[in-house]
Amino acid sequence: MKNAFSILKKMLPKKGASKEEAKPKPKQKQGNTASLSARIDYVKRQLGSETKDVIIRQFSSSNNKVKFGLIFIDGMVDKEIIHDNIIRPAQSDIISNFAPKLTPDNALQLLQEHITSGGELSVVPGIDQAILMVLSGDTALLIDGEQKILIYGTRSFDRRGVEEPLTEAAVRGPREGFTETIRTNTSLLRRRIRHPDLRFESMKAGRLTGTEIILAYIHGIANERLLEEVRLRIAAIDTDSILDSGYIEEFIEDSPFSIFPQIEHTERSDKAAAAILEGRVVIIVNNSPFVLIVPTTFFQFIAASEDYYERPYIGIFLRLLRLVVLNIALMLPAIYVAVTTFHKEMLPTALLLSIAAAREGIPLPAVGEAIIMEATFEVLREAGTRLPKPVGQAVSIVGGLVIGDAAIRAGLVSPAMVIIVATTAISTFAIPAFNASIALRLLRFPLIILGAVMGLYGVIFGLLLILIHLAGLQSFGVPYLAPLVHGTARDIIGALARPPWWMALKRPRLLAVGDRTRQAKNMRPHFTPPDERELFHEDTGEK
Amino acid sequence: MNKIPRLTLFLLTAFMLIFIPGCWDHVEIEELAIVRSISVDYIPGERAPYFVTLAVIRPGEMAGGGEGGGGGGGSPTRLYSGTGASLDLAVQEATFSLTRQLFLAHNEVVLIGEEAARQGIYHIMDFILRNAQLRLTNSIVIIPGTAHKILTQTELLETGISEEILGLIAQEEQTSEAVTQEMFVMLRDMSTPGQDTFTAVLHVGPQPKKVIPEIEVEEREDGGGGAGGESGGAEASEAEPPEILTLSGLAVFRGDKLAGFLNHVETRGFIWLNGEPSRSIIAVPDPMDPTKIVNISIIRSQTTVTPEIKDGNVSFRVEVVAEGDLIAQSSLYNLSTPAMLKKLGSSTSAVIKMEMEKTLQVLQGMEADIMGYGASVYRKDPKAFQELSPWSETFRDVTVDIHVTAQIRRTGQLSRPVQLKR
Amino acid sequence: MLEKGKISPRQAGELMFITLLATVILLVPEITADLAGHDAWLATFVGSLFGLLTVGIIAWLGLKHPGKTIYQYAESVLGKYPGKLVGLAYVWIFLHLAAMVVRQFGDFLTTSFMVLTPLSVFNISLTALAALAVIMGLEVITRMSEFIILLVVSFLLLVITLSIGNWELNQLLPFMKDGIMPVLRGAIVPAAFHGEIVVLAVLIPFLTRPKAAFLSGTAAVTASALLLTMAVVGTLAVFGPELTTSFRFPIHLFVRSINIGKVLTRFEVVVMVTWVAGVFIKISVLYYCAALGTAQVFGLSEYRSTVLPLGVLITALSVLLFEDIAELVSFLAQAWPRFSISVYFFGLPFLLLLVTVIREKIFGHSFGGQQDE
Repeated sequence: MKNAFSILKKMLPKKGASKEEAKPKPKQKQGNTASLSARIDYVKRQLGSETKDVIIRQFSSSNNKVKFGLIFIDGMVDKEIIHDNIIRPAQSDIISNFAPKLTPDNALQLLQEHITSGGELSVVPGIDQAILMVLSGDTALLIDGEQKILIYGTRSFDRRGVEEPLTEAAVRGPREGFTETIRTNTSLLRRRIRHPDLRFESMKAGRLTGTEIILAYIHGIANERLLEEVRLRIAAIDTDSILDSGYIEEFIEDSPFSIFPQIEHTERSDKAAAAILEGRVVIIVNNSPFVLIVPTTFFQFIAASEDYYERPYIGIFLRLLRLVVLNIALMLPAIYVAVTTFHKEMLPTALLLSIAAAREGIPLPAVGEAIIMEATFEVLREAGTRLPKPVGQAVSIVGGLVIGDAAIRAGLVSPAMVIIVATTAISTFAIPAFNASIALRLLRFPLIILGAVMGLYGVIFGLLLILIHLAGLQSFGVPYLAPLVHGTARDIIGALARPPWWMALKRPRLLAVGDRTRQAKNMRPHFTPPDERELFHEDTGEK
Repeated sequence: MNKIPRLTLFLLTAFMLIFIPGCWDHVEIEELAIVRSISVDYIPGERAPYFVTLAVIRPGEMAGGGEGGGGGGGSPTRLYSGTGASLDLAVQEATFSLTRQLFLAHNEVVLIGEEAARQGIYHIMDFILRNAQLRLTNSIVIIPGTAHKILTQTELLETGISEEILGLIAQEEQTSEAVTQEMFVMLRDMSTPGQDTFTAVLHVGPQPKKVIPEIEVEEREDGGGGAGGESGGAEASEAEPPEILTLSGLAVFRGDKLAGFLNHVETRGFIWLNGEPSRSIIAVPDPMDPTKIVNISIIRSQTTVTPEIKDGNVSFRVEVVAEGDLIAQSSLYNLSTPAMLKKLGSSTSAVIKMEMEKTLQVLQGMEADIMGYGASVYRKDPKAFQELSPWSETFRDVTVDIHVTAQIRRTGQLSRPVQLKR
Repeated sequence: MLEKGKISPRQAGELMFITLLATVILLVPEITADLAGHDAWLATFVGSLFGLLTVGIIAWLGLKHPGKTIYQYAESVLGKYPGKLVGLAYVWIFLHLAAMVVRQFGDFLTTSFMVLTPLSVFNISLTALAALAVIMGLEVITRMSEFIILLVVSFLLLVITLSIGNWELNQLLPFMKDGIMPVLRGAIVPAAFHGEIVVLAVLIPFLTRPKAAFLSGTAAVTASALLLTMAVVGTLAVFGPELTTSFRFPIHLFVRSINIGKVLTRFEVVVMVTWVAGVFIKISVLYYCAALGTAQVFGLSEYRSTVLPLGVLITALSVLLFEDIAELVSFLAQAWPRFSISVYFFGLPFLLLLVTVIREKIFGHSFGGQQDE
């Protein structure tokens, strides 16, 4: 056991191992010359000459004194910008009267200040940095005789538009979901929070993928210690690839072996903005429409952003409903098994009789029935999600209706069990957070077994085990069960119910620092309506 | 914190539990013999005097058959009997012929035969209390004669005999002719100083209607309506009158032994004496025409019992305040005037008082203080109660001063009788 | 410091409350009804408030010796070896208590719910669960108690409310038939149970505000006393003192007697389940105190290493201490209260207090504690 752990530990990322060290050093030196052809050769070697999407265009200035090399990647740049703003001004005297004055010595300065245009322009000292920029869609302009390289921001590639998030649909509220493009995502947030204190802090992870990661938070609201912790954990990631925010999640969470998700993710831009405003940190990962929210507490999983847009009553009702549903999803089959095999005295007589009648002639014990039905349901569900939509529907019809009905008719399972499994399944779907419901789905099976071995004592035993685990969990220093534990009454109400906005005076105590005031006091609407006669003028001349 | 022991311990406990060999109390629901009522009889002189019958339900037929189409029209109840020197032994013998595991948690009625009740019911209660399955909210009902025969009844409104009895118990408040007690309430009474207990009596017998000849005559007279009606009536009169169950009257205990029965009128008297909620119809003579009667439906009543202790002697003052509606009259006089209602009220009081006195006389004859008058003395003055013991003998001669005030509040849907033309 | 966790006074109060209430409610009605008859409820209330005395002494000692558990200040007050002896005595009492609680609950489960299951199954599994919680530390136990208190209190209140239909308050009369003596005799047992608040002596250094220890202890004792008294009143009113005394677990039958329209009935299993949770917290707290004490008395650097051996000890004791349930109950009714109150819940703390005062006032020794407010 211990050995296995030490091996695992060795495999895990070590702190302090930075990306620069891992890079092959000798080649770096070859590229750092002022010679254009040497550098172009170097680039070709680096990127591979067989790579056809790398375009290297060489040209000279109109006075033929300076040679240029332009490197960009086809498909990731806006070619019009390159043509109109870089090549033509450098080649033609007509557009810029500085072009004739170009010499290898003043080329960098002239190009930068006078000749070429374009919004984003930066200078990097060496070819290796330039290659990295080129790979993300920028264009590098190499000048013969000048070691510094000009980088033009020409990123333009096909991107998915901002669409309604698929995983978190809402009836009311903004419909803008995050996309794969990190800039779009930051713009979505910036548009919602137009305050100078909204900060986007950029980081990078992934040796091969070089994925950009942005921490979004509000300076002054988000806890500095929390931020420091997040930075530290992300900086410590040493991996070759980050393809989705899910990778980051697994690298930075507190208890890697826990079955419960300790980091919430969302596709909804409004939800992320709300989290930022509460003092949380949002981690945006390039090429993933799912942003991460830290720290996360368990009760966030029963909240949907729509709760805050509709009337408070429905918000409160839905929260409580989800709490019930959560419990159903976790333990209903286990309780059913425990009650029907151990605590039959709990059932009302009529129910006992109908269950007993339904179970007559069923070959399997209740546990077997429960496990088989639950497993079947999981199979159906898996089959349904992975298939294309039209086929998926066929699966659900065959699976749900045909198999279910046939199984009952054939006397393989009792109708009562089908009802239980179906209720559980529906309850699982009613939990807004998919990753939280996964945990419940998995925990259901051991609970069923415990219920079958020891009755409700076994179930409560299992629940206490889960509770011990949950009580021990933390997400970036915040207890997972907060605010039910360590919370004031106000926090608890804020998490379990959803007070009207004018009542929610403070930000959550566990997260925000500094001024926690959300809104001014006395915001309860108490307007005196204008006189009815002022609103409805009638042309009767009565006044 | 160190994660390794945490994880190993987690796994260890989980695995340990799963591999605990066997599931001791595990019984599938369809393997149960669900008992809904038990009858207990006592046959004197036998070596195994207790005769117990368990009414076991067959769920398939009880729950409406379902799709499997349970056995055609079989009774949902099966009876299993056994005898033994004690209740447990008798139950054990009954289970010899059971193919399923005995399950008593859903038992709701215990029927006790007259002889068993005379032998003492504590033994039966002890059995109920110690058993982990049996509930102390079981209703106890006493049967004159043998209890077993009740369970064999087939003339039922409900699907099973147990449901029939439970239905009767649920409806008893409508007529105030019986008071069924739950087991623990009886036991509480039995353990309270100066109090005896009681419970309802369940009879089985022919329907009362058939013994009145006039009804048959009337049926024949208006038989002109159709031939079918006539032949139907003839058939019914030829058949044996079917026996039905009636819950009425009280079984009175002294200590844990049956002391005697109260009939349904006496039961009503007891209800007045005891102050239980009462809802019954009583007949009082018409104040204008004493040959006719007026029916008063008692809506609510309240009884206060005050013990008065003087120099070691005790007497009780019982005050009853009753409120009723005039619901029927057979004369044509307008009884809805305030004066008449007053008069009716006082005659109602007189009837109630008469019923109470009669019941009290019977109970004093049995030396059974089922109202707990002695207990009220005990609560007021435990020392005086000590001097009055044994209470049953004191109770026999105790004076009870009864005051009844009845008021007639409403006269139903009529403000006065319809005046028929002469 | 062996424990890094900190708990707030409110959390400590909740933890104490569950610790007190969890088992007291199972056995106390039977024993007090036996001794105090109709006045058992009064005896229960009066006895329970005895816990306040213990709280007072413990809180004073805790303030006098800031940052120290009873194991540590016993040494600094009495000297090294006598102090260690006192510490060991407390470790033993916590172990003994934990074992008794495990045994009581195992007996309860096997008597009333799962007749065929061996006692040791419950004992081992409950202890293992508690061991896990103890390893996770004080904060985890506290967080769980915050969760479980909701369950325990709401179910208890629900049950008491639903049973009101069965109440016959006359059963509480006559009041003080034989004078005050039976009440006082009956009060001893609830007093012994509420003396268990002595675990606070171990927890005070981990409070965020140690000064609030008295307040949270008082709140816990009072709340537990009130709820317990309500339960005893209910039990007496439903069954009368005679039946209450005869029943093995009156509160269980009390729950069973609820039958409102044949619909609101059959609650006892649900209540059993919440009690499992409450008892689990209680065992965890006692177990934790024992484990921490062992580590502090023997000067270990980690209390977690003591958890496993102590767990084995608790399980073994829970099976071996008593032959049968009658022995357990008679021990709890007779020997235990006198012994535990005179030594652990009042005697030793009072001795510590006395010596502290004497050493400070007469010998001018300073223990570094601040004066009371």
